[in-house]
Formats: sequence, structure tokens, C-alpha cells
Amino acid sequence: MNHNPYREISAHLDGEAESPEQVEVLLREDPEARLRLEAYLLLGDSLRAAPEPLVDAAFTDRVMAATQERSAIVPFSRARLVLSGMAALFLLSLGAWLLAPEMDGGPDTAPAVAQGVAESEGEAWALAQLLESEYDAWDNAEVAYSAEWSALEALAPWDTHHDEAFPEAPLELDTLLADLAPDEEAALESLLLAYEWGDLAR
Amino acid sequence: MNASDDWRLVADAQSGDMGAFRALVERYQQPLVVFCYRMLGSYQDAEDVAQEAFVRLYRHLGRLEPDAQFSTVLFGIARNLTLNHIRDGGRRGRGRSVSMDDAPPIIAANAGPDQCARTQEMARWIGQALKLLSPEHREVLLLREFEGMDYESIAEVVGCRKGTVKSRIARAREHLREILIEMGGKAL
Repeated sequence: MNHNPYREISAHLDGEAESPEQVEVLLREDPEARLRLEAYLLLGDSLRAAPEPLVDAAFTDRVMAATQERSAIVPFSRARLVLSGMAALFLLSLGAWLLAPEMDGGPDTAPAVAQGVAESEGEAWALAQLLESEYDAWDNAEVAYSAEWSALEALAPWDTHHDEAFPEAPLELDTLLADLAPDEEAALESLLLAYEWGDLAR
Repeated sequence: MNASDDWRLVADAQSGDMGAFRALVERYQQPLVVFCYRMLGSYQDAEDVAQEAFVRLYRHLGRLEPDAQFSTVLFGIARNLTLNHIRDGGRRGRGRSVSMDDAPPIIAANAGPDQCARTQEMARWIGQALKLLSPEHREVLLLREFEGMDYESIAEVVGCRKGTVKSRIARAREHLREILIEMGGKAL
């Protein structure tokens, strides 16, 4: 038995113990271990016995309506979406550069964000992680969040939160788009799909 | 219901059969909304997040391949959305994701008449106790206890190693037990 018998008892309960025989021996010889197993069993029974909401019958209809409505928009907005994403990321890079002196990570962090406007899917993912990790490091959280919000709004307009009232960064999309390199599109598309797919917990 | 049924419906939906997609929604809406509800503590938010998960699933039907359990794909999307929702709520300082203010319209009691008294007593406290677990612990415990997923499937949903799932579930149980003892759960 390893140094944490309760971990193995818990796994044993789920049929996932590495050595069920050893757990059985422990349970026979150690009254505390048996009590712990009984407690975990009771917890499981209680969890499953807890009241739960019954989904409203109209929920299915709402899902189907939302599915049809949102999917009908995609083919026409994809290109615009990518361009908006590019512009938003450019803005984010610009914002990071402007905010650099106030960032805990120092001025070197802003170029890192800018470089994160990536040339590959892996870099795009890294950028997403970077945006997240740097958010909390920024002293001026309101401005930083505003920039991130704008980026996410452009990247994931299907997100359910966009009706929330948040200050929008002053963004001139058309002007910014003109300054972006065309080869960024593929990477941004990957990032966009990652958000859309929900693979990235922001 | 089994995995091959799910993937057959997915294949039909990929061919444009909206009836098949509707069947998938009907099949999974109850467990998915309940999972979101137990993660978020708000029924309205749970419905919103579950609906969003289905919409995203639909938009990516063309990318789905039957190389995993369908349920892990769907719950994986919902899981990411719930964590985003919790995180967004925390950032805004509202704490709305753990409010429990908007109770679900209908409550189904799972405890049957033969359920022992101490289980029923414990069940009354369990919703409150779950809220005190971290989201990382709450999600693995819910996927195990309610969805009956094995550790490998849970690892796929939450994107970590199987050993990590094992540790998290053990810690979640231990923490939940401690919380319930503090709340007066003498049976533990």
C-alpha cells in the first residue's frame, strides 16, 4: 500500500485500484480504513440521492432553435470573423505594449504578446494561454479585461456573455486590419476554432 | 443507450438529419444540464451553458470522429464552458455562479422510499457541501458519481492524466467528508 491509503480506498470503490488485493487486506486489518470506505460509500449514495432539476420540456426546442439560428450565420461570417479576430489580437498586442510598464512581468512581456500573434497553431494556443496568464498580472485590470473582452468578442461572437455590459476598447477595425500580415490568418483561424470548440478554458 | 447508438446518431446528423441531432439533445440534455447545475449552482446559468454546449457540438459535427466516447466529447465541451463561466463570474466579482438564488423550476427526488434515513439526511446537505469544493474537485466527483464515468473517460473530459483524476477524486471525497462533518454529518 502506498503512502496514501485513502487514495487507494477511493480508487478501490471505483474499481480503479492498482492493487485491489492490497486494499482488501487493508480493509480487513484496519478498522479506520473500513470506516473510511463506508463514509465514501455513503457520500456516493447521498450524492446520487440528492434532488436534481428536471429539464424543462421546452429546452430541446430552444436548443434546436439556437442551433439553426447560429449555424445559419457561420458560413457568411467566417471570413469577417477571422478578420475581426486578427484586428482584435492586434489591438491586444498594442494594448499590452502600452500597458507594459504597469505589468508585473515587465516591459518584455508586451513583445511576447505581440510575437504570440502566431505563425502556427501551437503558437496560437500559446498566445491564448499567455493572454490568460497575463490578465491577472496586469495592475490595470479594467483596461486589460476590456482589451481581452474585445478580443474574445471578435474571436467568439457566439459566446453567451456578449450581452454583458463591459467597456469596449476604442477599436478602429478597418484601420488596424490594413496593418496586419495576411499569413496570420491560418493561425488565427486555429485559435478561433479552439475557442469555438471550447478546447480552451479561458 | 450505448456508444454505438450515439455515434450512429452523430453520423446521421452529419448527413443533415436534424431529427438525429434532436435525438442526441433529448438523450443528453438531462444529465448535461444537471452536471452544469451542480457545477454552477444556478439553474438558469446551467441551461444557458448546456445550450451553448449543444450549439458548439452541432457547429463541429463535421470534425467529430468516433474514436472516443461521445459523452466525453459533449461533457468536455460543457466542462470548459462551466469553468469559463465560473472564472468570468469571479473576475466580475459577482459570484453569480455559486448563488443558488435561481432555483430550478422542478425538483426530482432520486431517493426512493427504501432509501435509508441517513442517506436522505445527507442528501439534503450535499448541494451546499458541493459548492464548497473547488471546481477541479467538483467536476471529477460529479463525472464519477453521477455519470458513472471511469477514470480514463474523466481524464479525457478534463484533459489530465488518469493518475491525476485518481488523486483528485480521492481528495474531493475526503474534503466533502470533512465539510459534511463540519455541517453536522455524524454518520461520517
